[in-house]
Amino acid sequence: MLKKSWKRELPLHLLLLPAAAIVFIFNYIPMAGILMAFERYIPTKGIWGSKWVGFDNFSYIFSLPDTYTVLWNTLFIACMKIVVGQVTPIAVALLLNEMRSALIKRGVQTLIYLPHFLSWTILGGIMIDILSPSSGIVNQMLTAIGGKPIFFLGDNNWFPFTIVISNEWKEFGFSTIVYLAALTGISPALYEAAVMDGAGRWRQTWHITLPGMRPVIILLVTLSLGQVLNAGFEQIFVLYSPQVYESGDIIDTMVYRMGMLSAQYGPATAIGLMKSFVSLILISVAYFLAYRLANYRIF
Amino acid sequence: MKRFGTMITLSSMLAISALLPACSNNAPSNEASKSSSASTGSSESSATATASNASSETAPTGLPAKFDPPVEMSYVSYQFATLKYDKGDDVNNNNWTRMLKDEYGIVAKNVWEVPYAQYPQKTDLMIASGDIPDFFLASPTQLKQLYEADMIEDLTDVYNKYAPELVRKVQDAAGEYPRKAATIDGKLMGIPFTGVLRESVNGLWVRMDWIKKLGLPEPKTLEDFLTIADAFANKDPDGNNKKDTIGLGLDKDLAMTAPFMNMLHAYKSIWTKDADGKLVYSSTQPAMKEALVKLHDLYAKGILDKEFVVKDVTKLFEDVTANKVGMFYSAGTAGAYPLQGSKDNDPNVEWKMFPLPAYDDEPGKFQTELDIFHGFWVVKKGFKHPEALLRIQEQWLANFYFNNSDETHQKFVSNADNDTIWMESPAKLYMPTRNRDFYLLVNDVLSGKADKSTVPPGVRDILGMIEKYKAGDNQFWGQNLIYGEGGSMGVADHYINENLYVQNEFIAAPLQVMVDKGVNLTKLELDAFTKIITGNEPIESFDKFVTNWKKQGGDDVTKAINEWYTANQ
Repeated sequence: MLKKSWKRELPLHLLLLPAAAIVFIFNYIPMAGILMAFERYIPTKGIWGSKWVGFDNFSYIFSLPDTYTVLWNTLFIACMKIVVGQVTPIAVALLLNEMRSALIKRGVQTLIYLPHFLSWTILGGIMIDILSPSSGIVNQMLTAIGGKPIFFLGDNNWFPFTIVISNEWKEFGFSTIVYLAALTGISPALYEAAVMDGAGRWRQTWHITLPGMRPVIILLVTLSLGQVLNAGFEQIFVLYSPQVYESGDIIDTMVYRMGMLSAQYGPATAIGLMKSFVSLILISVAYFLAYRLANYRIF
Repeated sequence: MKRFGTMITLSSMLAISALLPACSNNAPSNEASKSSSASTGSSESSATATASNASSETAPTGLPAKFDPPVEMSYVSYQFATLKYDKGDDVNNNNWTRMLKDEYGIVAKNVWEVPYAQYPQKTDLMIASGDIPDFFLASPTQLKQLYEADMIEDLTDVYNKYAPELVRKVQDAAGEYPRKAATIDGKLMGIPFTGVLRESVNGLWVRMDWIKKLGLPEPKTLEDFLTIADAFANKDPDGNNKKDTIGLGLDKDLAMTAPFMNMLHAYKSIWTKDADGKLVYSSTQPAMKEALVKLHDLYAKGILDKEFVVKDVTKLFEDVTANKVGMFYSAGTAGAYPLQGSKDNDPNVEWKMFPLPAYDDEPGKFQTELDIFHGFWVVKKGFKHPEALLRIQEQWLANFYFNNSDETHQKFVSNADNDTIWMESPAKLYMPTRNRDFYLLVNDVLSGKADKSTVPPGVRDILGMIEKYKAGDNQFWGQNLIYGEGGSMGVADHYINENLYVQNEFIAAPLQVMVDKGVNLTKLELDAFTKIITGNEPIESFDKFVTNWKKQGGDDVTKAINEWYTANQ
């Protein structure tokens, strides 16, 4: 019995092979580079030739006055991104699900997921233009309704929110698709039964749709927790400026400045390693909680 | 500091890439080099004098006419995107490599070739793997690493014994600093790839049609400058009844503030000598405070773009091209990019480059870095014939700069089908003042002092473009702006002749303490300066910045740099 199913599933496992190979080559082999976090790394001497310094690089990064601001910014921006990044697509998916005209539904779906395919390098230029306090369309609308222009990209109070919202604008359409897929998996019989019991739209959503989506929601939240310290290097790197370092500088941009601009490979690796370590703890806790609270397991 | 260094590299890159295609058919003749060295005047003779320790007395001997048996040299290189090979040619088989092989017995073997942007990282990786080719171009930091790992040849004797006249000539013209920077513990560890920083001075570009329209004076003094900037921002020079013009353009990394500071005798992020002959960090000096006060004034009066803090240089250039900017600082080559775009968008636009407006009786001096392009040519330790590299460099100079034959020019520099043949040479050096020299020759012809038939083909090309511009073809307007009468290279010429430069005295690879403290200090400075300019912090916070800078590692860096300076004098 077991043997038979193994044989039947063999082609499926073979399909996994390229993905596994890529993960191995690009995610596991480079892990050897983590050793750089424990040495004063000198490129000409290589990993084995450089001097070992124990935890010096770690104490160095914690002695930098910026580290704590940067940690806080990273956590703040990433947490907001996770919350907003889950709530918006669910809401949009529910709304789209109520849409009667399939044509409009598909049209909207296509429109909202298009920005996902543009890179931040391109969007960065567009953002600077549309958010400009003097000529940008967003501020023109603000002033038209009687508000004052806001310097979204140059104001420390606004910058993190600008980052979160612009990121959401780019990504929510794409995440919505996953939830829409989850919605199609809910048996229509449940809705029919509910209608028989006299449930309205709200009741149906609350008692059938949302519980039906629960596994997918938990899966995506758990996965996104692994990203909790990834506040989005590319986006921030394109949009930030010295003016908003205070609220916008994150671990990854700091690593970039240290590693790429100043050739401090050791400390840069140390920060990166610390980040991965914290992420590992967070995702383990989240997975455990998901299992305890929702009886949900990925494997 | 690092960031500014990158800017410098970028702008000199830009200068080179913008100019070389522009004067595609140039083959400076011997006359050209003669008359240019005559016109270079003071700077060249002083350069020769200071660099004579390596040349003059020991005349070059013994560079063999042809290596027999041939020498095979492996190397790695970068290329610019415009490169194309003739049919059937490739990096290891083209006019340059064939010539080197047939005439000099040098077989250059390319191991890999990448776009310029990838070159630094790729060479870093290569060095880390410990497997370097027989020769390649190394950055200052890499030079130090290679020296410490004992991977490269000492070239002191090689240079003294074999360096051909043309190589010496160009090295001497670049002044003493590049060779000093290539010398570690008294040994010449690489041949500097001489650059074009001095003729790339960041002069003040001004919208002349706006000046005329508003009846303003030319920017001769600081007062003129401030009046003009104010009028450009507030008097609606483009006549659209909106306050949407920028008096003075800046970028978010503050790279373009340096010339403004230079005008007020303040220098951004370099190491200068103080009265006692010690090196001090220019950004923490009192003059900087005044410059920041002035910049804040400009910001408060709405003369600077309120949004400059989010715009990088590319974005600023977009504003320039959209004809929203009245003045900005940039190298002479800005005539081609971005200003040609500004003209294309509006044929009524007129720009002109000026020297720094006078602040007091003392003329403004531009801060300048080590005049090299990317780095130093190094030879692998143990390679038998390091002198072969000098032969390649000599051939490059002879065919690219010091050649009067159209035939040679078409074979090695550019022809009608391929204007990038020059890129195929395995090793290059740049003549530090070539564009300035061309400008002088062009103007000799325009003013009737010289006849068109006597100038080299490259200059004739530029003259041809200027004629076309004068006949109404605005496509060549930018070239006229650089080389024509009153062109931007004239400003460069003025600065070169008067030697109005303040050199960054720290010319070695970053010291360890600079690497350790650098990230934080650079950020501290950029942060403080930006906030003072935009008024987020009062000007008094400059003193706090200086204290913080010293406390957070600046004092250690200053100490280490002065130790380096004393040891290397």
